[in-house]
Amino acid sequence: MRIVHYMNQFFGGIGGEEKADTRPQSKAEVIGPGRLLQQILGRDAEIVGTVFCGDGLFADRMEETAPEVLGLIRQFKPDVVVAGPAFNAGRYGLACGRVCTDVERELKVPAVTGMFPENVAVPVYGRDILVVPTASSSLGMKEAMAAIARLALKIGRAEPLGPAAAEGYLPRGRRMNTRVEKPASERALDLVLARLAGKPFQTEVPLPQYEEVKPPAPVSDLTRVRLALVSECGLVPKGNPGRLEWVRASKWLKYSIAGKDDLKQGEYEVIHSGYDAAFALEDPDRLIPVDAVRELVRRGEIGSLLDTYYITCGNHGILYQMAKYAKEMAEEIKAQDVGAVLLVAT
Amino acid sequence: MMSLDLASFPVHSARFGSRTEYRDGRLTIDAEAVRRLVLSDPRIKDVRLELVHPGESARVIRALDAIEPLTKVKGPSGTFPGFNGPPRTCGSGLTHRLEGFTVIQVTEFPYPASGVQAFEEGIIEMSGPGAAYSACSDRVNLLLVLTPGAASNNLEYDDALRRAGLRVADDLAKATRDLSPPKKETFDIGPEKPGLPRIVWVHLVRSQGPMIQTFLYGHEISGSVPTVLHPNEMLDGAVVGANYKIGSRTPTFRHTWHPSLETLYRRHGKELNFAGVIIARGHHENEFLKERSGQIAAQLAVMLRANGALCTYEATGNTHIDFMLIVKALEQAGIPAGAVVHEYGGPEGKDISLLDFVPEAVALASSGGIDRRLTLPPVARLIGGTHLAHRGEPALGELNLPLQELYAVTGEMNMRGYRAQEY
Repeated sequence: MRIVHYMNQFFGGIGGEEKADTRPQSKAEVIGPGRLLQQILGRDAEIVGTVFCGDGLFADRMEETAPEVLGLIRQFKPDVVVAGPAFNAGRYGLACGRVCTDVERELKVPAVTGMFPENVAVPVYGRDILVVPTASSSLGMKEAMAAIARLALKIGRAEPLGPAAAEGYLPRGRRMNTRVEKPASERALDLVLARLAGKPFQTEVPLPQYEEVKPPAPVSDLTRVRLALVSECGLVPKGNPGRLEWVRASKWLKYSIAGKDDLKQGEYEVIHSGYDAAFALEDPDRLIPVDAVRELVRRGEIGSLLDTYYITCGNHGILYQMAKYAKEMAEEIKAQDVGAVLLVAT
Repeated sequence: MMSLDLASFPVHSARFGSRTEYRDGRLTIDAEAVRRLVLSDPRIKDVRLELVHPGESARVIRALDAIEPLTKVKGPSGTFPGFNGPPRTCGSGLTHRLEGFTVIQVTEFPYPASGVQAFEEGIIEMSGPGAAYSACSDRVNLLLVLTPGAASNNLEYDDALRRAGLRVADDLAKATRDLSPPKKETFDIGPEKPGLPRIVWVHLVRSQGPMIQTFLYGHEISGSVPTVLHPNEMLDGAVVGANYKIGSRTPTFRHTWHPSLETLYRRHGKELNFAGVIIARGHHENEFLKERSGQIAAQLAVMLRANGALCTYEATGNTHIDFMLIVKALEQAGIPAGAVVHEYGGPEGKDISLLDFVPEAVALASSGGIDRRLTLPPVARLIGGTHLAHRGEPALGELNLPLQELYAVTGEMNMRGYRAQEY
């Protein structure tokens, strides 16, 4: 297995901060911390080359420097690339993160690096690449290299990686299904019994954090605004011409209500399957209240009604997809001189 | 107190024959007798019987409930009381069961339904990658493929097919009445062993209206506040599932044999005292009813002198809120709760995994993410229709779908030890 090791100018033996502008270069030899890595890898893998670059240059001129570094790495035809470890050095961490990302994306070669979990590069690259958690300084080099070497061999052999906690890398923000010995009920009971015995316990599902949506300021004068009707209720014209899905909608749609004073029974259907739609089918205006809004426009209480309603289906909606649809709808609606939206929830 | 002997007759294969008979793991079924039992109700016009075995290249769609046959040999009640006989307290005496065998009704409903009442598939996949998640894939299944008869609405028809399924289940198990069982276990939660914590199982079931119901002693549960059952009442079929909503449903066979009940009974008298079952309705219509139900459930646990609670639930978003409010109320009452949750998180597990939570939910066990997708290869045999309900796709060929569209997948993933973990 051919391994290429990326490191900064300091570990490359060029010098400290005064040499942070060192240009990318490579040597067909094992350098600095690479010796420890090679020692741990033993005969299973060989470090065929070392590429290094000044942290300052990489960070300041990343878009030019990263391809140059990648080119040097490519010349060694690696099976695996190891970067760092960068410990808690921010610029070095960013360089390692970028190198690993480029190697995997451009060269289709697996890569691994090591960083202190609070390194600034972890939130930037941690979702995309394999990062071994390390101590904050090079005092933790031995442990870091042992963990890196183990994972380098594993990814070099294309063996599937287990969960982060078991394999010893930082979680990449993905929860995948695994199979363990005990049923979930039994594990939940274990948690209860541990708590009652005053023993340490660890929940299996960390509580998520939701983005807080602050309500917008009230519309000061409705008589002058154009109102748009938007909903996730899944009301679509009969026959569902846009093929909106009943769960996990893959899209949002819009339909014209131009010239309509109300939505007639029989002309619409509800594809959302999470609520009882009987009342809505009787009178679709109960979901998309065209009749009431037209009346308010006639009375002069609302300026006008946008002749299109925007619709998706919220049933089992994937949150980030829903956020994307909302953003797309909002942009389009805003471009039509709309001053208020009536969002009908179900 | 209450003691139940449960005699298990494992079924490894089944076939049709001239009389119903159990011998050495092999069940022979008198198809004519089953047909007569089913068709004794005019609300069912016709029935076709099919058998599917584990490992077969078979797929079942339009599957409703799945019932493990039970029959009462000794005791003051029947099994599935309230349906098979009067609603008398079950859970004592001697019950025979055909272990690993299920009776499943398969049908289309006669009248159109929309919104939440529209049928959603929970697909039974007997082999291939789907079988690793789908309930009943490891069981021998008798399918009652029904044609609606003189039923004036879908609810009436649903009542007919539920009663038919439970009648057939009881009748098939009767074939073992005079046989000595390969396995017999005694279930009893008394006498209590001093010094061990008392643990209750809080079993939250979904009841939302037609097509999404759960029955307790023959009556739909949605009007009830949380109540207490002896675990043996669960084993004897006091709770019957009639929730046909997508994959996250609990069929009757999972009420009569639940991983929570299994683990609590196995550890009863050794690490804990099994204090009882609190059954609560999920999917209340509003926050007021949800909080009220959570508070009553927790108060029952207090009255049962519980030290801890194991909590599980079926179904999806709305019920999940009820569930979290029960966890909250228990914790606030000083009863630590360990709760099983299935996760969402999108196809790649990158999205938020829980729809709702309370900060008190500090001890959660994961039964895996049900948004993850799976490709099911084409099958040789398709039962229940030609196209998937809702999706409208042809059902015989390759399918790509999220795990939650597989039959009773949440309880099954709990049972089989699935767990979502950080990668």
